[in-house]
Amino acid sequence: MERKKIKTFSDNIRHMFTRYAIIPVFVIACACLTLFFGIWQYTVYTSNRNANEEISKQIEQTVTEYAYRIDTLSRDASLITKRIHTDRLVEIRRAMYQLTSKTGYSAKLYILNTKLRSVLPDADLVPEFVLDTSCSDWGILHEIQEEPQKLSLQLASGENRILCIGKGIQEKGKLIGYVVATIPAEEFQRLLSRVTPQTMITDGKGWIYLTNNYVFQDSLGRFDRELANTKGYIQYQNRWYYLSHNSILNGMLHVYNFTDHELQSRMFMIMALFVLVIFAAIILMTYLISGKVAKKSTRDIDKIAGAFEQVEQGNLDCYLSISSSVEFKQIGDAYNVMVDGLKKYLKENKELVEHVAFAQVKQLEAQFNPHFLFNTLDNIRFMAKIDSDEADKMIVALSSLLRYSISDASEEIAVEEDMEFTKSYLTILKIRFNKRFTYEISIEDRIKQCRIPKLMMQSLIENAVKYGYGDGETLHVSIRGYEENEKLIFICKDNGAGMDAEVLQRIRDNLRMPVNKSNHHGIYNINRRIQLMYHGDYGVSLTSKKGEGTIVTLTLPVNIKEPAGD
Amino acid sequence: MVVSMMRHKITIAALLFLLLLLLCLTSVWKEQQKEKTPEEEREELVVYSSHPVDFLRPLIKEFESRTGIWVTVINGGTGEIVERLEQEQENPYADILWGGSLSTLRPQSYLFEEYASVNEDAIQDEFKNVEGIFTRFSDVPSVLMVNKDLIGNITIKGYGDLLNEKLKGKIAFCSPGVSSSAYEHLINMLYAMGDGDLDAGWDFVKKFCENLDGNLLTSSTEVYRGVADGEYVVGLTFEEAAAALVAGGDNIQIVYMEEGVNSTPDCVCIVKNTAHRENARKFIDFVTGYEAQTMLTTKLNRRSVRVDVAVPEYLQQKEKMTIIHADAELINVKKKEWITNFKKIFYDSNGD
Repeated sequence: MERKKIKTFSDNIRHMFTRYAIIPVFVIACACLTLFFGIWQYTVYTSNRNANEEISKQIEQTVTEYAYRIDTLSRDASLITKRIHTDRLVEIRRAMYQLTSKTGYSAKLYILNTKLRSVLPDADLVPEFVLDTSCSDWGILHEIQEEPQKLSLQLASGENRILCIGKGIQEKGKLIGYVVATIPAEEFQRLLSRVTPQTMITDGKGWIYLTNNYVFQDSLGRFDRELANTKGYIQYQNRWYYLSHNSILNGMLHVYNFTDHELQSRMFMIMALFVLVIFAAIILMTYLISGKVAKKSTRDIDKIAGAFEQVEQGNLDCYLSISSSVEFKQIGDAYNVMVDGLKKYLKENKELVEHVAFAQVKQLEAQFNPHFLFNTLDNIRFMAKIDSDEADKMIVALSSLLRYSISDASEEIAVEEDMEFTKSYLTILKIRFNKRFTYEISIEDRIKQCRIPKLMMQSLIENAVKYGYGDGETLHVSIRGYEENEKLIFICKDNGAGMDAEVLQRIRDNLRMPVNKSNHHGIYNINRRIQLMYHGDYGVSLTSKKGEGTIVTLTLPVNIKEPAGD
Repeated sequence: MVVSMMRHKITIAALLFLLLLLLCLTSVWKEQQKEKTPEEEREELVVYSSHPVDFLRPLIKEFESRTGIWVTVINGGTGEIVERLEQEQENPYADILWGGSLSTLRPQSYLFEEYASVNEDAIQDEFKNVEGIFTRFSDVPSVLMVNKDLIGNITIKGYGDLLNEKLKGKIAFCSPGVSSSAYEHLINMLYAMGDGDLDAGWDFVKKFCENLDGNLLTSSTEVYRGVADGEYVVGLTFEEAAAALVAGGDNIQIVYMEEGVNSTPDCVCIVKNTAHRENARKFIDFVTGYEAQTMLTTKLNRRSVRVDVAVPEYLQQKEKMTIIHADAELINVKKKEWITNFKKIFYDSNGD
């Protein structure tokens, strides 16, 4: 998979805005619009179809009922051949009334002989549209003459508003009369007003029987033949209509229904256009604004990114000042603290390295102090003559001292080990000063495995010996080590000359300074090393009284970590 | 990765949703698309006619009902439809020209083809199709129609009365160039007013034109409608138009000119190179048949050309009119000249 180029935060915000805000809303709006359109189309479609079906059904039923009646009558040749009695007449009339009430639409009945005279004694007025005395061979009568067996259905000529249903009466294969029922278009007028879509009822060739639409007509008043047998959405004279069509009675009648589409479709177009324009505006505006907003809201991020870049390049003097939002302010402040801390640690680390190096140098200096070595060797020479055992002890102590100093000394060492070295050192001092020097060591067992910086005790003892004798003859040094309040305490106490308050104060002040300004390197260096290594309430404290001695106290953390690989 | 996958899923879901919606809509739309039910090749016939629509309707309907042929009717003035036929000569749309007097059509005889109807034997001698092209359909006398509400004390018995000062500008007449009925009137005037002397006839035409006062209509329909609607007091038209209005209850009187009535037949002919020759022949047979001709006289206010159909009682019998006969050959030759001449006279007398 190809990895895409990583975009900027502001671009991402902009994309997110477009993707999750505008597009879904747009899609939903479009979907709603289409759905609305679909539902509305469907409504038009169904209401039109239903109207068409209802009208078709009504007319078909009515015409079928009357046609059935005519068919029944046409089988009775006696209607023509014999005189109709009153009873028979009443029966015929009653049947017609029953049909009227059954169908809801009334029709007139005519029974004629071949001379076109009515054989029904109560009605000899035959309307002109059925026949004309001068010409019998026209319209429905012509059609019946052509095919007497068949049910004929025609619109009365001239007056296109009357539906004639007729059949011939035959006797021995010869036409002897006609049965004709007529239904004026007015009968169905009410039916048309019951439905919303406009209706047109035509015969098989499109001659109009009944309509409340005057658009789809040609010059002769027929249903426009371009539209015959069509249905669905049509365009007529630049207007859209929904047209449904039903052909009933074997295609002898056609029912059309029209719903004008123009207003609604224009309304929908306007709506769609409106939505589109609004969205176009929104998209344009968002595109313009989102860029700005993203830039504005990510300005702080840019700042932070810039600051980190500076840090990466090693510049720690770049600070952030952000006040636009709480979150970014926190990040900014934290960054500032971090930079400060980083700077501090870098500095301290540097110092630590320097001090360790210094201490080691000092210690080596001490180890190989030529005076110390000379004195010790001189003592060994005398001891060898006086007391060979003592000389042997001294040699052992000196050799262990030297071994310790050349060992690959790590920074920290177990108390027990350090004490061995301290004892060697003290042994040499003891032999050298003999009765003038006494010492005692008391270390709690439980701290023996704790780890402490090495070469510290030696420094303290060296100091005590260096300054402790003063004018006195003897010196007693006691070393104690114990744990108190989860801290390691080492006390180096001597009963030497001590120091006056002024000197003591100066040394104490000097301990608090970051740089040593006195020549008391030993104490100062120890304190500084402890502080650098252990950060906190640790270090060296000093008490002394002129003529009574000095107490140096080391405070260290309890650290029993085993060195790796031991 | 997860986020981008999810994003893809959302996009895919949205697209699928839209697709589904589209599918639904198109299916609904397709269902509602205009569809024309396939129908058997139906028999067709195109008729160019100058007859009034109300006149055409029952005859066309009956013809369609009897033959099953679907008839398309193009309606217009005689001049107009003949001009259209001229233009379509190479590839005619029309099959039948129905209407227009014999004298109007004769100069354009090259537009039509020969056919002798099956009813030719039953046609009166006077109206036999001697040319082989022009089957006579009905006998159309030129008449004056008078609005009885507006006429007052003015008596109109013939052309001479039209020169009455009181009728100035109140006479409805159509240009002989566009209407065959107007052209018939022009011929009628020329022959009736000069007793055969055409120059004397032209003198009358000049005076008549002056009394038109600049009103020359553009179709024969405007003439009879104009009189019926009271825009004009008297109109020069053909008998059927006036009779239909009388039958329709309008307060109209028909005047057969005392100076003489030129009664010429109108024709029905098959257009040359017709695409529906069989149907066209059926049509001519139908309109000259007994039933149609009877209908013509009983319902449609026309005089039949058949021997077996009598003139209806409500129309004046020909014996009571002064019938004049124009020289058919001369009319045929002079048509263009006379029409131009009339126009010239008309514009001269109403030029300013």
